[in-house]
Amino acid sequence: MARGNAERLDYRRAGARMEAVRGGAVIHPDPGTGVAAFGSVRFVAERVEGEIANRRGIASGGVRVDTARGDTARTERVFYDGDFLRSDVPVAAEGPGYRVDGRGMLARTDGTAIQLTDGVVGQLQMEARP
Amino acid sequence: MTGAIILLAATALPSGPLDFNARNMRIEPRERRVLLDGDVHLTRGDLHVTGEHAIAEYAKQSASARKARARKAEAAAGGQTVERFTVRGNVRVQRGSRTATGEQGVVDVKGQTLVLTGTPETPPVVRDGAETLSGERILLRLDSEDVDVIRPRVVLRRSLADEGHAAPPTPVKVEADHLVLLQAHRLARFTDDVVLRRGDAVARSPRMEARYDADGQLTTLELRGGVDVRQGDRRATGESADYDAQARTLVLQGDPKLYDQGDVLTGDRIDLALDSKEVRVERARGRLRPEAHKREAAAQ
Repeated sequence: MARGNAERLDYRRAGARMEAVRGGAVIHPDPGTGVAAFGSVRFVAERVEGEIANRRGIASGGVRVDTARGDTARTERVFYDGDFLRSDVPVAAEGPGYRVDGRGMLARTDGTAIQLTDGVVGQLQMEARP
Repeated sequence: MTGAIILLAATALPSGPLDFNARNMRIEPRERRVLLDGDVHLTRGDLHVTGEHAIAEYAKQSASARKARARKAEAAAGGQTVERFTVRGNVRVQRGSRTATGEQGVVDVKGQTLVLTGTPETPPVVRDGAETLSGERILLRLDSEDVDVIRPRVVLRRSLADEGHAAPPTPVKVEADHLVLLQAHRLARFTDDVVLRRGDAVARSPRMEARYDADGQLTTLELRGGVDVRQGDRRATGESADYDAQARTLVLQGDPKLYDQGDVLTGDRIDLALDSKEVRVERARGRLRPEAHKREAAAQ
């Protein structure tokens, strides 16, 4: 289930086109799905344009994702294309046990895998020595 | 090689985050792991590990931790830690002057160990300068720098005491089923089917300890549990044997016996000089057949 809000929303029924300014959405994933490992996921973006019927869109102007698990990701823009979220600009992410900067991103919308691409630098938290 | 390894200063792997870079990183939250691909470089303190792929596996969270997280979401942030990472493909490990290579390296963070494996064609190797130690499986202890090797193959180059010897240095090669290097004790302990080769001399024994001085130079080899030494036609046996690296002599004790082309000698102790092939027997008794050595005398 997803809920959203925006400062301004234009929606055209023809083609199910949507444009939102300063929009946000929260997804509460179904148990057992890949996304469930993150808990609820909150998206915030300066601008969102999309074709809902075609499952396609662009979030831009600064995009931020936060999860209940403690993950945070920031990037300038994200493309949504059916089963994938993709970014071709730098992405900074951190979460439980990791912090990473990548030059791009490719993620499955079912949450089973998130890939930072084209050169990544970061840190993994190691178990404390006994 | 063992001497070189033993010389290295022991510094525990510092706690804290592991720095990495790679071409791609894949986060798989359900499997609690992170996969790194392409030119992977991992760094922690003075430990550098490179390879083609790496998998970092996170520790399972306890039930109490999960309950705490449920109560307070922010508690989860930074709450997961990597307990093990596996690096595959042209793995190279560097720490100080020591480097190691293999096909796979597994770091157990809690256990503070790094296990290197390879293939029969390209076994894992630890190098320090020109010195090399290879084996079927090499376990490096990251907190003590002790090393545990399955089926080691070692060339004891640092055992070559040159002073006062006209003969060129002869490498001592050792094979065994198991080797443990105890850094703090300057000791290399070989066990199970130990085979020592030096020039044409071959010694076999169930176990052997190599001891080093503060400079990493081999001082003695102590073979125990029954020793069989062969050099050309000559064979010697005893309960124990001590090799003095400086004198280049092997001293057999414990019912020592020497068999040499019909000669059979026994005594309290038999000293074999491996370079000159001279033999000294204390409280000797036995049988000599000088006619068997006529050919040697003529050759001299």
